[in-house]
Amino acid sequence: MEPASAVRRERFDALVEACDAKIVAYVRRRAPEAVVEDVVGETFLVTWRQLERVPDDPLPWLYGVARRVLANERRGRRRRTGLAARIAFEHRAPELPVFAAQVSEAVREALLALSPREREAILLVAWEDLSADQGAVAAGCTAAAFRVRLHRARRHLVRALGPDFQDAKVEPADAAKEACRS
Amino acid sequence: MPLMNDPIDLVRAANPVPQAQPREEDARRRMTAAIVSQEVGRGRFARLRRRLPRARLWVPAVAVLLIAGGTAEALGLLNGTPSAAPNGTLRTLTTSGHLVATGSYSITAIPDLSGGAVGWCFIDRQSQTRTAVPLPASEINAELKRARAHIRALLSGRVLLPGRAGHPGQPLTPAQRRTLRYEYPRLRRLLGTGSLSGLNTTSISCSGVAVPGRSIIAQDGGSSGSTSGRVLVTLTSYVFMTTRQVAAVRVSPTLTILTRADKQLPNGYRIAIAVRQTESKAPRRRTPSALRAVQRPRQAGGGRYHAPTALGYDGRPIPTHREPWKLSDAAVFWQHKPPPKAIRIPPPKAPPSGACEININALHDASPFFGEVVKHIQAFPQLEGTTFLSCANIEFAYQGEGVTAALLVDAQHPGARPGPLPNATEVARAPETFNEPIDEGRSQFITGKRVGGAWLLVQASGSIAQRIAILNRLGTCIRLSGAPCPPPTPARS
Repeated sequence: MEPASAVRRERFDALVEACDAKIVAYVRRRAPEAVVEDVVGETFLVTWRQLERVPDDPLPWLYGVARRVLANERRGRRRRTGLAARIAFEHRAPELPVFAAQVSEAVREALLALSPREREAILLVAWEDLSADQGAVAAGCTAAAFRVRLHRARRHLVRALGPDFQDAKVEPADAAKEACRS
Repeated sequence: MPLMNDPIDLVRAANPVPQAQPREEDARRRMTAAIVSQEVGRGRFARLRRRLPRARLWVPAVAVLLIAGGTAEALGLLNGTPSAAPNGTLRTLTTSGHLVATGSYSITAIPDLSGGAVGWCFIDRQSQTRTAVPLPASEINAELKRARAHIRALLSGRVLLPGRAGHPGQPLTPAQRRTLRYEYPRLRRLLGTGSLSGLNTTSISCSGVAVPGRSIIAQDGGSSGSTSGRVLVTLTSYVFMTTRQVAAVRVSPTLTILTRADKQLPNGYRIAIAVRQTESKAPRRRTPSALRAVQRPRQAGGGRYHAPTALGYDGRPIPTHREPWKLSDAAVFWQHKPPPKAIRIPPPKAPPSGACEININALHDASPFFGEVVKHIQAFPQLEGTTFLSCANIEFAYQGEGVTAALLVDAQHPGARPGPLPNATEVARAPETFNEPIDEGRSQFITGKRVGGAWLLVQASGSIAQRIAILNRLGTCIRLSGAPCPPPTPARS
């Protein structure tokens, strides 16, 4: 192996070692178990090819890659779900993340009522423990746009959760126009 | 529902995977090996890519993919196909790398019982009942009728698309309307790919041994084709048994199958298994050439045959002997009742004297058929892992059932205590007697016990008790050196 390749391989191995568990968990929270290995593998394949672009804080960037790979996988799954389903797509519910059984019905319904972008913003913060700046990298938009998106998502979530959250402390709607168009 | 100030806390509490658990080291290593191995083959392509503007590259890339017949194959399989779980789900991939159906498979390893044989037999069973692409004719018509009616209703605006949870339905967007108008006249062609009988196979691959320079121990697989209308659907299965050093098997430039451990396999051997489905245009009429196309479907992607390459955990090819070959010890075949029009030199009618002997005289009403006896036991020190040499076998009828008995010695060190039988467990109330578990899809099972420096095995149907009863009445003789076993007394016919 050439020295440059060896260094590259070493960096990649370290990256996999450090981030593999978190990426697996991220995918597992959003996709059926049968595709987890494939999606994680594809994520790291992209990482290997674009290793030079991986920032110093790699995790949000990897989440962003995994998010796109998941979207591709979902599109592919829709295509092959069966011709009948493909043609009569109006019978199917919109593509949704996978929630575990222990997620309460109220939370599930509330999350499903959000738009995919808002839902992802909430989940990146709640499940992946990302800050707003990190979440912006994962979502592929600016930090300001992510904050706006998160704020709106939180407000919509409260509304969807019903009266128990009516007195929740939610800031008034931000008039800032969402600048993130990923 | 508890009152919380921040709804995110509630979402956080409902996290389905609260703690990120590290995967097995093995799974990680296999994944990185597959990724890096793909990149080795992509070196030239990557250099070309750096030189050419991205837009221009698409033209030849798309052309190549279309010519190859698998439009997105190269895109879908670059990451390697993980082998399915043992006795579990079998992945089926289309040429575009998409999962279209599932089946099941199981793998079993047993010693090769043929006299003189060295190594393992691998029995793999695959079941693939139906793919998602073709539909039975009755379903096609029903689906066609329903889909057409629904699309007409959607286009006319009488039916709305369902909205997101809690939201009212929505009319079609212009883009959806255009798509449906395009799809509508093509529905029959899309649906009319007919039915597929599927893939249900049981195959045995024998003489599997691990020696230096041979990391793919055995390989199996095959194709089945089915035409309906103008579509030829082909299922091709790939099965490889490898040594433990192999992380993946590269079948073609676009198909790399990851290996996985399986407790059914001895010596830490691994299995790489995948099924690929290809669809292509079938000839209009079943001319002889069309029949040949069905019987011998082309290689997935239209390419030529590629010898499989074993890849190590560093992603690099492991040097391996290309030509399949087997190890064996010279054995003499005998047959109790040769066929009337026998070959020019008829075999002996009774087991000749040799290094080993199995005597069935104590079994009343046993009728011998044939068998093989090794003349002189030869050691095979180059072997890696536990491997047996069958120094004698006999097939006979007993109580209306066919029975096979064999004497197996350690092939590396004949005379040493032979290693364990894979997956066999000791029988209760029968010390030193081992039995392999019931395995669906097989009718005969192996029960064995150690006699001297060898395993005496009986393979038969029926209960364990019946096999143990046969085992205990068989006479044996093993001569590792010096004078051979005396000729056995003629068996009763």
